[in-house]
Amino acid sequence: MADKAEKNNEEVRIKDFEAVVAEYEGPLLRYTMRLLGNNDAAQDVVQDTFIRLYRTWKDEMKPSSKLATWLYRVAHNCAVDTMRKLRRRELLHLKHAEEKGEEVEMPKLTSTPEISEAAEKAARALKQLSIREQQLVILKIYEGKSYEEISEITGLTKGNVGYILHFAMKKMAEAIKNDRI
Amino acid sequence: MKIIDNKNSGMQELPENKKKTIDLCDDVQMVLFDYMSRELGDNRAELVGEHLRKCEKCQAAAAEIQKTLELLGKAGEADKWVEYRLSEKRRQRIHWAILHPVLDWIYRNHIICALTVAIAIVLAVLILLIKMQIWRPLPKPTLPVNIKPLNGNVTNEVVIPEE
Repeated sequence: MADKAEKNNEEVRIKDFEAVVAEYEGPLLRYTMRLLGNNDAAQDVVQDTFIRLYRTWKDEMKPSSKLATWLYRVAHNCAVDTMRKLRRRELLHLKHAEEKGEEVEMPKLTSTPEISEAAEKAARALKQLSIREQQLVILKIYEGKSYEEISEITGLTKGNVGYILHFAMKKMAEAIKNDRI
Repeated sequence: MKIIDNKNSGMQELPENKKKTIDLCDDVQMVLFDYMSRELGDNRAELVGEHLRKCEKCQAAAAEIQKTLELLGKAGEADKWVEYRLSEKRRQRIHWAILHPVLDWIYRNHIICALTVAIAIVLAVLILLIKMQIWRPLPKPTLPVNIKPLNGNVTNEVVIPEE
C-alpha cells in the first residue's frame, strides 16, 4: 500500500518535473548558448542543470520565480565550469599544434548566425567582457530580468548589479566606438 | 549629491556652481543605465530626467548607451525566432538519469569507478595467488651470520662478519 503511494508520488513528481523542463528549457538554453556560444556545450549544461534539479529540489516542483532563480544560478555555475574546460582544451590544442609547428586557427567561441556587421560588433564587444559582466548584461538585456531578480540569481546586491552593469555598458560603448575589436 | 573635494587634489579651484554641475554630471552618468532600464526610484529618476533635459554632455552619454543597447538588441534579434529545445538524446539522458541514479553516478564518475575496480581486481588476484601458494613475496634480505665454536666448546655467540 505504502509502496503504491510512493510510486504514485514519484510518477506525479516526474510529471511535474517534465512540465518544469518544458517551461524552462528554452530560456536556459538561450542563456547558456549566449554565454558559451556552443550549442553542444549549452545542451550539456542545461541537461545537467535539470538532473540536479530533480535530485536536489525538495520543494514543490512547479514553475515559480524561486525555481527559475535556482535554475539560472545552477546553469550559470555549470556554464562557467564548462567554459573553463573548453578554454583549457583550446589552450592544450594550441600548445600541441605549436609544438608540432602547425598553424592553427583559433576556434571561435561564438557561432553567431548571420547578423548585421554592427550587431556582430556588439556581440563581439559582449564577449570581451568578464564572465560576471557578460552574465549581468545577458540577464538584463536579453532575458529582461529586473535588478532584484538578477541579485537573487547572482547573489550580488542590487547596488552592485547596477554598478557592474554601468561599467560593462561603458566598456562596450567604448569598444564599439573605437572599433578596436 | 556629493561635491568634489579639490582642496587637497592640487587642482585649480573651480567656481562653486561649476563644481556642482561637474559633480552632478558624474553622479547622473553613474546611474544612467539604471535610469534607462527603469530601475531608479521615482524621486531619483525625476532628478536624472530633469538634469538630462538640460545637460548636453549627459545626453551624449545617454545616446551612447542607447546605441549600445540597440546594437545588442539587433544581435539578439538574430536568434529571436529560434526555438531553443533540448535534443531528444539529452531528453532521454535526463530520464535515464532520474530513473537510474546509481548508474548515472557511475557514468559520471567512470574514471574513479574504473580505477577502483582495477585496484580491487589486482588485490583480489594477489590474495588468490598467495592463498594458493603460487606466489609469495620474497623474504627481506638479511646479513649472513657465522657461528663459531670457542676453545672447542659449542657456543651460541654470533659473529657478524665485518664488511
